[in-house]
Amino acid sequence: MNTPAVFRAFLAKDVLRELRTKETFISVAAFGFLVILVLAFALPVTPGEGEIRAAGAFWVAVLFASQVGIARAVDVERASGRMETILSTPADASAIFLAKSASLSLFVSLSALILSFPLTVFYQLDPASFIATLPGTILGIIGICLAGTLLSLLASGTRMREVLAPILFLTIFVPLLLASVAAMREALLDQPYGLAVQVLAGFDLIIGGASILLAPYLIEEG
Amino acid sequence: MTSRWRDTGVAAVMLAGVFLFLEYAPPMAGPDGEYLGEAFRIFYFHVPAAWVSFLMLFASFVASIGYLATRSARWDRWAAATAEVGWVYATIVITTGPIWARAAWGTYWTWEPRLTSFLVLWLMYLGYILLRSSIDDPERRARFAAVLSIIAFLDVPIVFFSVKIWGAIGHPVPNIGFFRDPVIRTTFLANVFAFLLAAVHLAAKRARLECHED
Repeated sequence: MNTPAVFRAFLAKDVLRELRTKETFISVAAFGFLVILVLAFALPVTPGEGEIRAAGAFWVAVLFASQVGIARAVDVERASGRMETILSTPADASAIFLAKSASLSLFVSLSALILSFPLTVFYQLDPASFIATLPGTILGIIGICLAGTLLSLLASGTRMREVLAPILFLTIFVPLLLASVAAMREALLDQPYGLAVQVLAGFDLIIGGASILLAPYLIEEG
Repeated sequence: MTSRWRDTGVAAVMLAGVFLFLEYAPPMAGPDGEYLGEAFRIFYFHVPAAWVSFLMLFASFVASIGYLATRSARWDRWAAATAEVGWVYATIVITTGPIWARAAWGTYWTWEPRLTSFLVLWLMYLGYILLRSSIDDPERRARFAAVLSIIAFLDVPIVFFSVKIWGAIGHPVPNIGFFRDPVIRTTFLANVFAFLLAAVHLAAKRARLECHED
């Protein structure tokens, strides 16, 4: 079985499963909405700072919610024993990993789209200005899902996953958070955001590439 | 060389470094020979600890690649030992840095690139130590820890670069002007040597302990 075929098969499996259960989508959207709401209460919007606060609130929400959603998706695979079944096949582990990351990217992106509505209302933003934020947002979510899936695989195999997962997520994603917030802030303020998008693309290539190379070592025996 | 003689030698060199640091640490001079103040003397301690910390974490990165390539437990023992020693040294750096920052900048902490990236590095290797302590199966522990060590080491330069782009103020960079004075140079290099020797010694001891535990 060649790698593209494995990728397509596992992507279809993950997408179908998510369409049936909607677990990742609902958990990311609901948790992300609550984070935006809490941040809007805790850090009230001051006139003229809506775009700056909104960019920070959006990415904090996406990061925390993704951690919950990705960790849940990986834990469900392990707990249900599906991981063992998958491992009993000679399928390429990198392709399995990539399919899981791609399906998570898709549903986290949909959740992020949902989150942009309360963000627009709470922070009094111009909905049209969100179009310019798309390149940075898509690259940021791809980076979160690639490295996040790897880190969730790491943490899910340990006794301290509740503590370990946030420590790994929130430290490894520092560059991604900084660049994503900068890209969104500059885009909302109608400023050039090319440098931030370049940093995001660099992060995705380096960490994503390393994740694809290293993931087989984490899923070789479940 | 017996273990006792080696331990005594290491202790003697470290004591010499501490003695030079406490008794002879000369005032630091800037690139143009200007006097940099009492607080700058912490750099005889802070900079060697930072250099050796990076070296140990790089050794852990290399040993982790070695483990994944060969699956030899020996590589894993060295990866664990160097990461732990590197983290202890990073703790020294992250503790002494704010002491200097308070004197120089008037604040213990500021979100400048080097401080932020070093804090992230410290947290990542704290995660590495937690990960190792939370997996019982030695083979699985070694494999998972090797993956995290590689990811953590790759992420740190990206963190530094990112924070530098969106950071605020700069961190002093070691300048060749510091080392023009032979007394400053000797004191500094003695400390670098003492820190390095202690780190290698501690890592060797830790690797041997890990071997006994296995």
